[in-house]
Parts: sequence; structure tokens; C-alpha cells
Amino acid sequence: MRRKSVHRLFVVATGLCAVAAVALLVLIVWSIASRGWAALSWSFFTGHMREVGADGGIFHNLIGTLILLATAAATSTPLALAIALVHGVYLRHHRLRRFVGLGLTILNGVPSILFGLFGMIVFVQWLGWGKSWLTGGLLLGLMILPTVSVSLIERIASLPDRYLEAAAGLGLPTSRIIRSVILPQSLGGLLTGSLLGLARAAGETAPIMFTATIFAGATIPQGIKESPVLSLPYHIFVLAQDSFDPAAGGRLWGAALVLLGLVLTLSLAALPARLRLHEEAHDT
Amino acid sequence: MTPDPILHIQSLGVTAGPRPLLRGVSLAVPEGSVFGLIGPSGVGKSTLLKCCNRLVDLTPALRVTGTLLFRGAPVFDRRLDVDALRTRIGILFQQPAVFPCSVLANVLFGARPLARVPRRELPALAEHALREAALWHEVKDRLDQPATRLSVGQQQRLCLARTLATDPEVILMDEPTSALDPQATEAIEHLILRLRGRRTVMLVTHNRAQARRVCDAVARFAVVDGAGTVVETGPAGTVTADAPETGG
Amino acid sequence: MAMEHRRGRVSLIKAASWAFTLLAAGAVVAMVGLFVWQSRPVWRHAGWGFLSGREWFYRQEIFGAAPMIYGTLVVAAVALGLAAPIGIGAALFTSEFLPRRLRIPVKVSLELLAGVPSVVYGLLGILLLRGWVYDLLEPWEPLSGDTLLTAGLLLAVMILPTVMTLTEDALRGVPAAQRLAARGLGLTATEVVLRVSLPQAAPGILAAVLLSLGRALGEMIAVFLVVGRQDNQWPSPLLTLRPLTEAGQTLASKLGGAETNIAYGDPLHWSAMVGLALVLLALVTSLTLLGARLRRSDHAP
Repeated sequence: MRRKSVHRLFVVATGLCAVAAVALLVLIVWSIASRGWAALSWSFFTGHMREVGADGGIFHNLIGTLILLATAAATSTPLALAIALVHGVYLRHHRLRRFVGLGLTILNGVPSILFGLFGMIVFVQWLGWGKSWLTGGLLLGLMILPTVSVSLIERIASLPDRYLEAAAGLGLPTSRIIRSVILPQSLGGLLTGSLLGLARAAGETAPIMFTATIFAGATIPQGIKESPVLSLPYHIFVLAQDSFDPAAGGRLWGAALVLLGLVLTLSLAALPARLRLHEEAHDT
Repeated sequence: MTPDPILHIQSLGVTAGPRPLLRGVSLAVPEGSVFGLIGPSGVGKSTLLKCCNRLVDLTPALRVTGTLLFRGAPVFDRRLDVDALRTRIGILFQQPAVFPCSVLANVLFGARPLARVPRRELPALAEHALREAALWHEVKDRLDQPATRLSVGQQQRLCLARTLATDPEVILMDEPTSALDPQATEAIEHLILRLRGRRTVMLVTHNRAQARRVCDAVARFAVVDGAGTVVETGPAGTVTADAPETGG
Repeated sequence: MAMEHRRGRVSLIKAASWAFTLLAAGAVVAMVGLFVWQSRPVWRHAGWGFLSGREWFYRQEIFGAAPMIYGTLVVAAVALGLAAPIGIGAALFTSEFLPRRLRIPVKVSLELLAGVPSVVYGLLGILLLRGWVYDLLEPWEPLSGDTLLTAGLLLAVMILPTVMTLTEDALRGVPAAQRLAARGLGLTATEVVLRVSLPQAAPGILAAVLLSLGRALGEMIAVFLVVGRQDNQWPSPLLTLRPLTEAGQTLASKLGGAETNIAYGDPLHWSAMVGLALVLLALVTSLTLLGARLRRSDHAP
């Protein structure tokens, strides 16, 4: 009977850990939602910021974040496709493939503030762009590159060999096989990876705070040099430091709720594919 | 029948969601016998084995109806200590699943947590189990080595020794020789014959010749109306002789 | 003609793939190279003293990173000390005990929890956690709720999903046949976890812990908002819990501050900042490499 009690105790102890993890998510979402809900209105999304965030809306912050995300996606997509093809098709040597994988793992671990510093040196100073949306997008694109690439690589690796053999058996050249078999079949992987990566990029402040975004006074950028954007995470970051003018408070929570909503929507959109992958792995 | 059967299955049915796997299975397995289950693949023989020691519980979405008595007590009783049941009804799988630790640790894997014997007697228990599984002479000098280094045939006998170390009354065997070469198969068959009388064996096999060689009685399974069931039971010789050829 | 055309395409896709791949690799190499190259002045100026020095006064050209390395390690240790046991426990529960139907909602929450932006964590840290920690530390008379402990607690929540997800990955590597065989021997579900799953997943779980530690070391925004950003905090005696109740500075929070903007004009000061970045990169990358190695050896057999 001692074995049974040990078992019960163990289940309860680990169960409490799991409950704690889920409770944390609920607590976080509830803390933000309950405070930010009141600020949400049509004009909050379409209005311009006034009185240092105490009044007005977050229109240009939202636009700025979307510009950064679009640029990041445009940066990471070709790079990730290239890496996945090199990994899955052109590199025949196992060791070299592992080298690519290791490089992606390392890049994935690099703290985001270091991307900011890197961008500050290269783009802000050397190229003399000052703060620019393009720098931010490029850095975020580089930052999410491992996520997008790995998702693509996994998808390509999971393609049945017989597709490729059949295609090769028809005498199709590699480029045709890539365009007519590999790419169409792996677009799902690109989409999943991009959604996940963008979910991460949307909330990042560290890479863009020195390179791409300012707190007030920017609208839609017209060029590259000296063309910063406003953004949601930096907006929250700055206001959080000047904490809490109660007037700004409600709007601040509203902005946090919008950011959280954006990020969670992107993660949720990527979820079905990820769960399928996980559950398949569980069965084998 | 004079003595009560050790396992008594009465109109047992198993469904996976809406799909029936087994329907109306009734069998009486006499104590000390080697009882064979034959029939085509996918007919639910392995599922029936897993019902006997309730390993079906671990497959979600399987529902079991009917009764299954082990020494007269219902196996599908909510209050039953399932883990204790599984030490009394051991199982041997098609593929030997050895744990990545030493030969000795593998033999004692089930016996050690039971704590039936004092620690210092565990080596003796291991030796006894390995002898019973006819493996002792091959491994006595490398008990500390990883079990994964043994051949597949040796691994299967190690799994048998592992089960024997918990002193089960019944051993369920799910096509234990289908992954083995002829020599290793012969060794296992020889072991089954040695176990007969002392322990009850339920043997799922595809090989009718094997059933004839080692089984006392045989139940032949077939799919009837979309679900597996027993179509014929009797002494090994008679059942298998009349049965149509059933893959292998 | 058709052949020619086709050949042209082959080389185009191939060339573009290689070019973009090399571009990405070049960016990574450039980042590391830049940090090494741009931090040379401070290494020449202070030598190893840059790592061991306990004082940082940039106007006097004194650059010692030790308090920041200390702060980084303490914060990460607090985070890991909490997140590792809870995360591993939760992962064991979801992947070993929870029926599949309930596993999905837990997994979904986890993925979502992992997605919450660090600035949101920072905001919650400022609004809620800072006050709680202040109350908790009342007996030790803290100056404010901005302490190394606060940052560590916040980081613990942030890396919890990472620990859990990677631990689950490691547990999934344990063959289902072995679990079934152990249950067939009459082991309880807990005994299967302790004797089969955990020993086999151990390298993978250690990797999970190391990779999470790497993430904790490098996190900037959330830590920045609650750590107090107090320079030159050095504990005496070295091993004491006292600093937990005080403000401090981590490598990342230093890099995220206004000093980074000020420093650019002065080559020595700038190289000191880049030196901090290099130290951070070296710490995190060595953990990543170690973790990747463990994960690979885990999947090898």
C-alpha cells in the first residue's frame, strides 16, 4: 500500500505544478484584460496619441508594429526558404546539415538585446540610417529566422521520400522538383513558422528600442533614413517606466491588452499545426 | 470440467469508440495449461491478452463489456489493485522491450519495487529467474553489462526472466517468437513447454505448427459481423487441423 | 532551347538558396565578429580586470563587469530554482498522467503562456509583483520592491513554459513500448516515471534546464523594469542572501539603459558596453551549445 500512497502523492504534487502553470496564464490574461477592457473603443484603435499617452488612441503604434512585422516576414521568408532548401536538398552531407541546424540553434538563443546592439552599430551608425523601420524589420526578421527555418526544415524532412523519388524517377530536374513538389508541400510549414516567429517579434522591444522605434511624433514612414515608427511594445515600455499616472493607466492597460491579443492570436493561428505534430510524435 | 479455470472469460466485448474489436468472447483457461489463441491479424487476439491484465486501461477510448474472472474474482473491478494484478499475470510482447540498464537491473525491474524479498536475496532471485528462462549460462559473467548488447533472442528470454522474477501465475505471450530467428524460436518454445504445469500460459501465435507443438488447447478467432470472436475451441491437434490457412 | 532554359532555372534557385543562406550565416558571423572587434579597447584598457572589477564609473574610465555578471547569475538562479522543479513536475504530469483529451488544453495554455511578450510581464511586474515582493521583504526593510528577487521571480514565470515544453520533448523520446513493458510488470505509473521515463529523459531534461537558463540570462525588458538598475552592487560576504532584497543590475539591463546611447561617442566607453554584450553572448552561447549537445546525445540511440 506504500507504493500506492507514493503514487498518489506524486500525482498530486506534479498535478499542482501543472495547475500552477495554467493558473499563471489565466492570472496574466485576467490581470491585463480586466484593466485594459475599459480603454478599448473604436477611437482607441483609430485615434492618435495625445498628452503623452494619457489620452487618444494607438493608431500609429499599431500601424508601426504591423510595418515592423511585415518587414520581418519579408526578411525571414526568403532567408528561411533558402536555408531550408540548402539543408534539405542541396546539402547531402550529414555533418554539414547538422552544422546548419546548430547555427540555427545558436542564433535562436542569442538574447534579443544583442540584435538591437548589432543593428545600432551597423545600420544606425555605419549606414547612417538613424532610427529606421527598415532596421527594426531586418533585425526582427533575423531574430525569428531560426523559428521559421526549423518549421520549414521539419516539414520538408517529413515529406515522404517516395514523392521525391517519383519526381526524380520522371526525370524532373531538381529545380522542378523543388517548385512543383517541395515548395507547395512545405508552404504550411512556412506559414506555421512565420506565425510563431511573428508572435514573438510582435512583442519584442529590445531589438527595436535603439534602432527603429520612438515614443511619440512618428507617423507612416516616407523613406528609410531617419524614419522611425511608433510601436506597441515600446509604447508600453516607456509608459511603464513613468508608472502610474492614473490617467495614462487605463490607456496603458488597453495598449497592453491589444498587444497581448495580437500576440496570442498569432500563436493560436499557428497552434493546430503544432499540436498535430506533437500528437503524431506522441503516438510513435 | 473438474477444477475451476484460472481465467474464465464470459461474453467479453471490446469497442474502440464506435468500432467493435471483440464481441461475445467466452473462454475457460485451465490452470497449468498452455492455451493458444490463433487466427488472422487484426482479429483482436492481442487486445484480449491485454484485457487479462488490464493493460487495455492504458489505451484510451477502449471500452470493455462482459466479465473476465481470474481465480473467480472479476478483473474489471473498480476496486481491484491493478498493479498487483499485473504482477500475478505477466506479459511478454512481440518485440522484447529491455530497459537501457544492466542485465541484472532488467531482471529485477519488476521484482525490486515489490519488496517481497530482502535486498540481499535479490541476486539469488535474479539467478533463479534467469535459470528458469534458460539464460543464466549465457549472461552470468556479464550481469553488469547493458542488456541492450544481448541478441534479440536473448533479450526476449531476458524479458521472460524479468516476468518470472515477479512469480506470476499466468504469463501472457503476444507472438513472442515472431521477431526471432528459428534457433531463438526453438529456445522459447522449449521454455514454454518447461513452464507448462507450473504456470499458465496464454500464447498468441500466427504459426499453426507452433500451436500444435506447444499448446494443450487452442481457440481459433475470426471476424464475424465486423468484430473478432472465438469460432472454435478444442485440443491443439483437432482445431488447427480443420482450420483454414490463416496467414503467418 | 528548352534544355538551356531549364538549366538556367536550376542554377538560379540553387544560387539564390546558397546566396541567402550565406547572407544569413554572414550576418551571424558579423554580429559575433563586431562584438569581439568593437570591444578590443576595453580589453586592452582593463584586461581580465574587466571581468573581475567590481566598479563601473565611466567618467573615470573604470570598467568592471563583475557586479553585473553577479546580478545576472543571481537573477537567473532564482528563476531556475523555481521554474525548473515546477516546470519539470508539470511536464511529468501532463505527459505521463494526464489523459490525452485534457492534455490538449494544458498544451494550448502553455504555448500561449510562452507567447506573452516580455514587456507585458514587465508591466505586471511593476504593477503587481513589485508590491508583493515589497510586502514580503518588509522584515528586511527593503528600499523598494525593485530587487534581484523581484526580477528572478518574474523571470521564473517567463521561462516556465520553456522548461515545460523542452522537458515534454525529452519525455516524448522515451519509447512507449518501455512504459508498457514496465506497467506490464506491475510497476505503478509513478514507478514507471521514476525508473523508466526520468532516467532515460535525464540528458534531455538537463538540456531543457540549460536552454531555459540561457533564456533567463539574456532577458532584458522585463528584468530592466523591476531590477532597480543599481550599479556597483557587490555582496559582502560573497555568499549571502542579502542582495536578493536589494536593487541590482544585470548585463542585459545595463545594455538596455540610456548609457548605451551615451556611450557611442566615446570609443572606450562604447567598447566597454560592447564588452558586456560579448560576455553575455559567450555565456548564453556556451549554454546553448551544451544544451544542444545533450539533446543530441539523448536522441542518438
